[in-house]
Amino acid sequence: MRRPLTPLFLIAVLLACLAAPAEARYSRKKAIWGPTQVDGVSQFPIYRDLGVGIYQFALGWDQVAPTRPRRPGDPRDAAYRWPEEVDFAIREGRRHGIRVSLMLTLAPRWANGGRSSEWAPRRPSDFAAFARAASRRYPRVRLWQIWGEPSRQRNFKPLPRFEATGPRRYARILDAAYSSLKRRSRRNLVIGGNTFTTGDVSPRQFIRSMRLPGGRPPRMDLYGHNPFTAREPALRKGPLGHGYADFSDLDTLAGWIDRNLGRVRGRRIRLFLGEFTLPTDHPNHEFNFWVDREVQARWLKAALRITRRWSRIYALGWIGLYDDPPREDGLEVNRGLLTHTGERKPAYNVFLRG
Amino acid sequence: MLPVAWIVIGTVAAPAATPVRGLSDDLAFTDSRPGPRALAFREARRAGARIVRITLDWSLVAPAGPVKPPGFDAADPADPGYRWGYVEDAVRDAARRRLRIVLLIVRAPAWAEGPNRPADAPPGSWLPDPTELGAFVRAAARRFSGFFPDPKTPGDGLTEAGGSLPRVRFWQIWDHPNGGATLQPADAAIEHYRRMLDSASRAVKRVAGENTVVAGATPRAGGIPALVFWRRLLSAPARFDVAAYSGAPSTSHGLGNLAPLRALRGVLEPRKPVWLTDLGWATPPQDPRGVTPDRQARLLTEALFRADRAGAEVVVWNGLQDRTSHLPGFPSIASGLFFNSADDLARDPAKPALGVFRFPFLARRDRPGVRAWGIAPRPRGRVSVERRVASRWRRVRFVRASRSGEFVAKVRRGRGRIYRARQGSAVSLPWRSN
Repeated sequence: MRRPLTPLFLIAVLLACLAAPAEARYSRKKAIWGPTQVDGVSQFPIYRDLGVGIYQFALGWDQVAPTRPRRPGDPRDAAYRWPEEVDFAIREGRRHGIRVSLMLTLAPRWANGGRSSEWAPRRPSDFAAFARAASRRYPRVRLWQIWGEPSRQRNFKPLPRFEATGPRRYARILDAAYSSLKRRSRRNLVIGGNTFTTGDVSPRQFIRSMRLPGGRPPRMDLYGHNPFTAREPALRKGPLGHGYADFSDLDTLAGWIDRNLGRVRGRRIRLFLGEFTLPTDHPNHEFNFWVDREVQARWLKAALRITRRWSRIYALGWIGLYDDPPREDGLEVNRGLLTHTGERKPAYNVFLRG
Repeated sequence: MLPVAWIVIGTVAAPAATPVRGLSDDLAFTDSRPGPRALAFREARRAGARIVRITLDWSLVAPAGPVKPPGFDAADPADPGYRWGYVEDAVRDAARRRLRIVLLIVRAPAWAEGPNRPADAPPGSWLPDPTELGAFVRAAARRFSGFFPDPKTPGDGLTEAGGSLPRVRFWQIWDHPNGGATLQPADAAIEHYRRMLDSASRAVKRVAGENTVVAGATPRAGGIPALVFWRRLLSAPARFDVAAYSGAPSTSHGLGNLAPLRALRGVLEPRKPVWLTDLGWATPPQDPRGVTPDRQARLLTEALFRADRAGAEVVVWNGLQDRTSHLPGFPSIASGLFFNSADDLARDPAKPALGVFRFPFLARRDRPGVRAWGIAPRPRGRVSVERRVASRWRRVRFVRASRSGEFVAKVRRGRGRIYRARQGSAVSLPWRSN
């Protein structure tokens, strides 16, 4: 039989809660994109200050393997050029208690028939071999994102609009990578999908169309989605329509995943919100919306609250730490928690307390 | 206490596949007046239809003219050369009534036909270019993928909720390809149709793997008899998911046209689902030489029963309401479930066939008793089978309808040969057993 809580105990809890927001809150659910160093100074102390649990980094296959490796599964193959920045990030992350997540993306010309890097590799096994080499090169990394926003033609081709062609192609790549990464270590977590709010193929159609030649969906541990939004995050809000899904539609997105992608070891697939930001101050060249800094802080607070309370969300990744440097046309994206000169925006403290 | 005659003899399990009832009526479903069009779909749903077939006339939607317009991208659903309006209106209204949609693609535009069309060949029938057909089908399947922004909803899907055009899963490629009229020349029809199916199937499957390609709608007779057509078509690989057989009566007032339906199942290897389409017997006054409305109702009952026994998954009746057509390519309808005296579906009287369509039921002698069969309006609900004795209806047994609404029951013979079924307030038409 449960004992009733005493009033004294309740007061103590209340006081503890009131005191908490003043401090940085570490959370393994908080992820971030940003530079590893600025002017030779590690940025990881800032990430630690923000209470970040996961540091995210993109590893371009086209850059790492510009020529075909003779032994593609071996990270010591002479063709591979592993960036030192990743070693630095892993080292610094270890020092500050921050895990590193790697996004494997973009194909070299030798793998996709001599096309530009957004074109998918002809053979999923080539990508799988690269994933195997990367996981051997970085054994401490456990979180692997497979491609970034493959629902956008700028990032992934072939991707005819309103068709299943692209998602099917992606599914084969994802499943091959899953097999390869899991063979290396069962502790590796593979993040698939990695769609975003809209897309040339909407998230809903993408999820529905991700099918292997035999008809089954590809394997993954987490579903990645970038829920950019021009609305204040609140799950009670109605869906955007068109098969789109912003932050407020994450419950709807979870339903699509359940219906189409099944479960992982009997559990529903959790959401890895790989990228999220709210650009501030003025119009920019990347998003068709912007908000002022106070709104950025308020909406981020709402997003972090949902992330914290909903166990279905594995992590929320903020992109990025700094605003972009100014451009001549004035359309730089002020997406950061800090201005490009390093001043804190209101959202910094919100993220810190998140 | 129930009399002995009402004792249940036993139930017979209903077969797994019960035909889903569908309706086709281009005059009603593509009516340019929004009110009557919406009413038509409402009445279709109330009549028990769960599928509607709508004609997507390629020659009406694509640009006209003998030459393909320069810059026209036939595979792009948003190309300004396309005029999807009437199809979108129909699809939108059908989806609003939760009706599944079959789009029937027919008639090539002049620029997509083969060269030197004879004067006696109907427009759109002469060697339609399979590649161009594939591009058109791809555009249509993308347009109705369920994700294409609906031009009639204002939201952009970013700051304001936006609506998409409904999804269409079923795509019928041509109609009566063996009939000798819609696909010419007849002597090359089978090989040409195979190429058309191949191209169209690849196109719709690119959009969604679950999309279903319906082939044929072959009438029994015509340029090439239906079974001959299917045997030859299947002598080499042909890409389709469903074989449709047209039950359209020719000169016959009976059920003779349905005879090959069961045989068709044997021809299809590997086994594919069969649909029965174009079912419909004309009645007066629209067709003075047609069968009586009572006869039409009885034929419909028999046809549904035969389709069920033959394993047809879908039965499409041709005609919601009688109407005279003035549109080329859209024939008049005399086999409607409603008469047309006021040109208003809300006020026009129903034919007896409407009752059959909604609640088909028949009772047949099956020694030593009678076997009753029907499809109840409410799946899994209880159905009572009644017999008329001395001008009163008496319940002879209860049976529970299957998940699809179908029920089969054996009852002991007794006085009276007229039976009916009842489910709540829904009552089937009486049926005189043999």
